[in-house]
Amino acid sequence: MLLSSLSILIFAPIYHGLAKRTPGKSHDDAFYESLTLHPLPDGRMSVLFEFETIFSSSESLSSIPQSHHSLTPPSLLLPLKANNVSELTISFTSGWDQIRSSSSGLLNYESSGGGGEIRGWLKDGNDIENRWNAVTNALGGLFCAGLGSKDLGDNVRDFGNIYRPKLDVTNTSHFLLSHPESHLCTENLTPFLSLLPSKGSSGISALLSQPGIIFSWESQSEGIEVLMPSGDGQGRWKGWWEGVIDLVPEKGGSRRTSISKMFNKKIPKPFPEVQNSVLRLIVEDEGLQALPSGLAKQEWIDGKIRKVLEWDLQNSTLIGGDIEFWWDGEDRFQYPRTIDPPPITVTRTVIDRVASDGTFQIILSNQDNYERKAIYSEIWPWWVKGWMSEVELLVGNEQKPELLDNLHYNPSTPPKISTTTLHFYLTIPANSKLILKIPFTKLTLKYTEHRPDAERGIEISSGVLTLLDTLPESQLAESEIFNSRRTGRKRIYTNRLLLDVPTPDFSMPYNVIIMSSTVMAVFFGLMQGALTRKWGWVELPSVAEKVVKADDGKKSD
Amino acid sequence: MLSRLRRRETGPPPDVKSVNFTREHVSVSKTIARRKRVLALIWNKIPLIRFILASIGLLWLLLLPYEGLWKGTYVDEHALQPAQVNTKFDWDNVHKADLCLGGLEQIVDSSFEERTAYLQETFSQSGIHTSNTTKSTYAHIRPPRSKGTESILVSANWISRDGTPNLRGVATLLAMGDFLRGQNHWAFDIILVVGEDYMTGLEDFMRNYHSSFTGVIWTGLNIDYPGHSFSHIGLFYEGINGRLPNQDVINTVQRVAHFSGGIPTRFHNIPDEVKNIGPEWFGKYILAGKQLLHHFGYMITGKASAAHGVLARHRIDSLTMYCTPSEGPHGFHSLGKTVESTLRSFNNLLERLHASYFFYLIPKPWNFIPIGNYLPSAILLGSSLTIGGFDCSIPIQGLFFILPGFIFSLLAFLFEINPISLLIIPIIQMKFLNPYKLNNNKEIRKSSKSLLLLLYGSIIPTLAMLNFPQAIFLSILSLLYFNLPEIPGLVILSITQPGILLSLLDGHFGINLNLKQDWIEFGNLTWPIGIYAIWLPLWINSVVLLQRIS
Repeated sequence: MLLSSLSILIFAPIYHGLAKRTPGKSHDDAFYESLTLHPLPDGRMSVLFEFETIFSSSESLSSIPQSHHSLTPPSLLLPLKANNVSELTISFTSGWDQIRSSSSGLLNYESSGGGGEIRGWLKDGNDIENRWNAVTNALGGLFCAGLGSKDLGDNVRDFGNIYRPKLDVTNTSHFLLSHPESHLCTENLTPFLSLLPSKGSSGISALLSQPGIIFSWESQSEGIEVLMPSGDGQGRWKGWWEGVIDLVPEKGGSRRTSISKMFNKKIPKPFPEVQNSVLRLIVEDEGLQALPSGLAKQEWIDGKIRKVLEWDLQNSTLIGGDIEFWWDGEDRFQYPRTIDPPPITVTRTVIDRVASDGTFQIILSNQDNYERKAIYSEIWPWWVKGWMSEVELLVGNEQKPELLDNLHYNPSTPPKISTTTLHFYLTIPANSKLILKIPFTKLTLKYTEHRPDAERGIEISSGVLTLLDTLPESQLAESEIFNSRRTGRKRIYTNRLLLDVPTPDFSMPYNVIIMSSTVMAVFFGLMQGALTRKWGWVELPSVAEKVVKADDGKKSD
Repeated sequence: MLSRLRRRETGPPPDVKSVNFTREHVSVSKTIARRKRVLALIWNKIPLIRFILASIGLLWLLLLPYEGLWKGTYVDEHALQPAQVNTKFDWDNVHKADLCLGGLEQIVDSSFEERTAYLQETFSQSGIHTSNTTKSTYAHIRPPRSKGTESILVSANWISRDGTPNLRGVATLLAMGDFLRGQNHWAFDIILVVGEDYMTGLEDFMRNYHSSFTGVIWTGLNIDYPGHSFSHIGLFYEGINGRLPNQDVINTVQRVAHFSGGIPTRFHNIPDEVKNIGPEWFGKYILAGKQLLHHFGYMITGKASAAHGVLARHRIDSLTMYCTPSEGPHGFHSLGKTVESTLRSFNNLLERLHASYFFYLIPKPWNFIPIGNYLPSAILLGSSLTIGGFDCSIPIQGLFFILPGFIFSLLAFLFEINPISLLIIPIIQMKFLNPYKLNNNKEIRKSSKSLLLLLYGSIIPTLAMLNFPQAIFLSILSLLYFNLPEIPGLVILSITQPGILLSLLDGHFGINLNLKQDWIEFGNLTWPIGIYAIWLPLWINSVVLLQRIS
């Protein structure tokens, strides 16, 4: 008896797996994974891991709340369910180089700008702010990162237009919390892997579970997106990890590479429960070859038809093997002198910098022959105070106020900790550079509000350009091969900014205390003396009179 | 004890019929009388006190080259960890530098367009984003793990301090670009700049920086390598307006050059060898004095000692590494290692260099004079002036007396009149602008002099915090102007008329000092503030005060 129950325990996953492959069972979970490789023009390669799990609601099974999932960890779903979350996205991103990549952002469209970000839709009801705080703190703990807000005022509530809901659920509110100072670090990898059913030991997650390799990559991004089931429908959560590898050796040479060269591992054995595990290579130029070759396809990706090679990683001939990639006839990679910029780029810098003021200069450049409609949004901490009446909109040196269709300005209320949010509804003319200038002043922070390493300055969240006129990627028109509007990338992010803040000299608090105490003491002494002194009439002895007289005599000489 | 002292003062019993009808009245009256006596004594001795203060101040100044006032340098910011890394710059990078040098030698005499085309071609072959402003070429290295929010600037300008082309400096920069690409241990973006001319290109780059770059530059290095080999690295650290870099930058470069590159360092390219004159301490004293005088020269004029100086206005802690031309033994290899290791140190910073390590004098490599050991000299000189100004009986009339000097200087600045033309102002002021014969009234003259003493006595210690040598210069000028009798006073005043002095120093005696150009091109405030707002009013008023009463 004992033995048989043990055997059930041991083989349970297998029985379960067998059962799952038979269609028609609605309460089963499913897991998909893919690894996408995308060579960039300057000898680098984008690498994107995506893991998607479908899970179903288990509420209908019993009157007692319980959670039964075979592939999804309860630590992820329970806090969301308990706090009535409808959708949630967490993302950590280290940044993106628009200049040298011909692409205006990461391969994964849901990645935010620089730093950490948590955003989501909560079902309306009592205590919505407290529920949001509970979710951020719970997931911050899960990801070993401080995702919670330091103050209620840090939460941004008016970005619902930018991050529209994916589920058709009514009566929900949007929350967003931005942490531009956070960055991706080794501590974030382990919790990420532990959320995956394959735990980093099989399938493509085995390639990912190597911090020594992963963390030397460029432009990294990690994140999850959870869509909670409503009623007894299906939910879905997706995790991604992205980075950019430099294919050119440090001393120069060819870009020739392979899976084992990039990951220091052969193609791993697949995760037994996986529905679908694919490797995709986006081929930008014809010279790129792969061996063994994958299945070629045409796909519409980010504004263009691109050739994609696909490999099924469950294929037993590939397991334990390797796939090589090389460019025909390439002996030594020559860096291109110029790189075509992506159709739309956004850069943000601070000009006219002085200690207390500056001007945000946002350059939106449109390379296309048609104008674009977009919203440019900013989130500022309370101590950044924009001079809204002096905002300028320029094309070249010419003022173009008519290009601003609308402006939503939600100012902060200092000294309470709160954020300022701005949404500029803009028209970006064809083939032009639109310059948005916002002058601002930095208010003085209380000394308790400075971060550790105060002299570093404080990061400002990335600006977001939301394109309003994009078309779905799937609607493939036969005649078109290129249309920058036909993309799933609805948002383009600027970089983060580091602003110097006026900082007291924390390195010599002792001197500062002595100095200010002395000033206080002298002032107090003077006031005390004047208030308590007795005033009266005194006659000076004759000696003093003599001296005074002598002195007077000298003066009149 | 205290009560016994008090009791002793009580003296004769109070007379109930007089004004002092209680014991308290009697003791208070005695206290007041004593206070008056002491004050009168001090008041009578003010000239002596002023003399003593000024003498101690000057003596202190003369003692600065003496070793007893120095301290050994140390690295205050522990994150810097100078010379603690294994350098990777190696002979293949030296080979690359040699190749670049060959290319550069062919375009020495070409136009800016040809040069920037070559430089950009070379940078882009290394896979770095590169572009140019109107007077500079730059490359932006974005290491994989850098966030892009902070940057380090490395520059090599086309013309060296010597006036010769800085080809090897530029070649080093090109080789560094090739070397640094793809290394993934950097946390900062690195910006490489080749500026035209000696300084103007870098200034042009800095003026355009913020419209195209997002990162904040914290630290910078300027490479100046005119010869074919070098023996020492001369460190030039004074920036525009006498702004000094945080001393940690100097200490880091010095340590890295010594321990990683094996290169000895000097300051201002002065050989660090004690001359055999008299006893050893005297030779040391003279050498330290020479170091300090060179430093004072740059600081008083507010001129940058080398091309890194333009970065000072942008709050970048930087210095110039000048490779002293020589037959050897150092070249690209040791310089490359030094630059790499220094950048690695800068790369460790989590925040700006900020400890109060901005105020120092350097009398000798590996030594410095902390602010507490030199500032008293300026304070004493300043207080000697201030004390002289306390006797000011009619300040308003005095103010009217000295105001024209300031107004004329301001007008001269606004209408760009050379300070030399202001020679006639005191005469005009005395002859024509004197309706009430103010100058004949001794009381008014005394009050106006007191006001000037108070003003300059307060400027000097304040200025000493920012620019100690300028403060010392101003205090010595003021002491001479206000205290000399008529004949030597007029001689000194005519020699030190700012306009005459500046035109003498511009192109004569091997000195090229053009403060006006420095102000227009690089923002040297010595011209508008130092000359027009401080020195010229002082000079005009001193001449007026020295004139004999008619």
